[in-house]
Amino acid sequence: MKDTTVILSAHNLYKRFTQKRSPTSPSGVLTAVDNVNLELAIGETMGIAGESGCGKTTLGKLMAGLIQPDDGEICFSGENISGLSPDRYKKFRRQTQMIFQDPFSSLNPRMRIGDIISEPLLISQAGSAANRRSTVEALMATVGLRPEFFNRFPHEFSGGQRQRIGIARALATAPAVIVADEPVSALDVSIQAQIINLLLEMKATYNLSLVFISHDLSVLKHVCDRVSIMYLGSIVESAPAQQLFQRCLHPYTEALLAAVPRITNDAGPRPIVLKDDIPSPFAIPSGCRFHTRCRYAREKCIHEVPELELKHSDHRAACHFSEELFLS
Amino acid sequence: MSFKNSYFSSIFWPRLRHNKLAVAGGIVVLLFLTAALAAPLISPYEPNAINAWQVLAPPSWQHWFGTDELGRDVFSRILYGSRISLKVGFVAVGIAVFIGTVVGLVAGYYSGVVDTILMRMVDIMLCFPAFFLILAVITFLEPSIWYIMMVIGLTGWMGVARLVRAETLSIREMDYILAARSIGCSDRRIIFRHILPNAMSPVLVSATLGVAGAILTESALSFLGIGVQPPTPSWGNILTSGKDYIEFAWWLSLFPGLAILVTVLAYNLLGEGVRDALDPRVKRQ
Repeated sequence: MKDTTVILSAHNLYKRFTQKRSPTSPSGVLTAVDNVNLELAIGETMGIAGESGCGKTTLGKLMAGLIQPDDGEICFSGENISGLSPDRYKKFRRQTQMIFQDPFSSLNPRMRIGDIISEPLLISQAGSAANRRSTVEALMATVGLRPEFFNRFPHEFSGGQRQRIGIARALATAPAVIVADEPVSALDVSIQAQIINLLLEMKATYNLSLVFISHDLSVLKHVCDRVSIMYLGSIVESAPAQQLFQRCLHPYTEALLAAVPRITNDAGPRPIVLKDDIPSPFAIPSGCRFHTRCRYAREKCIHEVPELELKHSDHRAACHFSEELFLS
Repeated sequence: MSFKNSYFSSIFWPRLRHNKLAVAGGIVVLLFLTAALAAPLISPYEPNAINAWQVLAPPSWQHWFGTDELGRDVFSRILYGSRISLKVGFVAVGIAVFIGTVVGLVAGYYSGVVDTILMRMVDIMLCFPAFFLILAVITFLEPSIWYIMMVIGLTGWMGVARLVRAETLSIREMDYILAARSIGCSDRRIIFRHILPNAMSPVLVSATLGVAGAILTESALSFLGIGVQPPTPSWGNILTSGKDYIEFAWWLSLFPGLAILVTVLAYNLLGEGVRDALDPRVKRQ
């Protein structure tokens, strides 16, 4: 059974970016993360999905402590991290590691693979140089890299191998939480499965908790215990993966699910084509933020903000009419 | 350390080797460096040895580049002069690169107020006509080669600072910098271990070109008589003494002038070759 102790949680998290006025664009405030609450249990895999530009990556960076929230708090093992002393904060940061989307910009091109993976050990001054080398070689073996690669440079590797290097680097700090920000979207489909399986394997071996950010719902279905759907910086639906994929409660989730390509004979549900583009995060619509594109939208949706509330056991959605709608 | 598979051996070097002009420039640069280092071994005469019987002798087998108004061998003087000129070039550029790199890294990495202050300093420094600043400083201080190097270096770092800052600004946004932060790297480690090595390529180019510029500046200062003081030979002051006799002793002006021209050209060709080899946008022919 899954441990239900919460290791990392976010409470009323906000992150805004201000754009300075320039001749071509007026000044404005971009709300990237808007009142997000999340709880990640030990050993759990939580998926975060949404269109590009919805704030997934910003949320991931907040959770990993790489950027500071403007409001709200992040707790690690029940401790608010903004209240930590710089020393303790550094320790927390090493406890949550990130795996990046682009395997080409996530490795320093002028450093050898061995140096990249052993840097976390070097900084924490763990063991002698020879000791570190053997630790790194063991790590490389676990992620499927040959020890001869120790002295090579990143440009000699393919995307999949680079992602393995990134995973090895993240594991080198012995983290408790890994935030994987679209770890496979830059890779070939044939390599994607390998990297996902590697992540799951590492998660089991090291008892990690995983935040898995992706726009690919079929990947999330395969990987996650729980999935949260993000739209314009807010979470609109959050449920255990099985439940969400069986019966979603938010029209946005419905549209996303309908857009997943599948191979069947029967016609199945038609893809629901959302009208217009995603609204600008500089001007988030009033009321329900999805009402401009929702095919079920009514008068109430324009004026009242729906809360993310519990609809069934463990299934939350932010929609006024989720009980009335029978979404596919 | 294996050099075999480094960035330089696998990308940079093959690209540079294909550029014939750059290779030619590199060979000339190496030739002049060797000549400068080996000057005491290969110069046929003492550079300051006066020979009253051979005053203003035209080029001959005894004196390849002729002799000057005191009967000194011009070839030997140019050889020794190259030591001065190259020393000035390298030390001045070294100072400029050091200051420029540190200023650029700090400004680019910390941005905000620090960046604004440092970059306005750069703007102010760029407002001074550097050559006249050098003239003014040198006239107050006694003209010595060390002052010249320092002044050329201290007035030449702004370009490097701007280059490094621009590079730093873009490198700072790379994911590997975030990764470094997340494994607990200090700012200093991020700047020197992760940003600096990636920001150095344009600096290498500007340093190579800068050597040429510094040699020219030193020659000009010496030509005006406030650079390297006679009897120590430098390309600039050999040229100066030549100008008085240019009507009947052309060799006194021609050879030091040629030395300056060839060296500066060689450094410029090499620098441009290095730039093309480092620039991923330039396709290999």
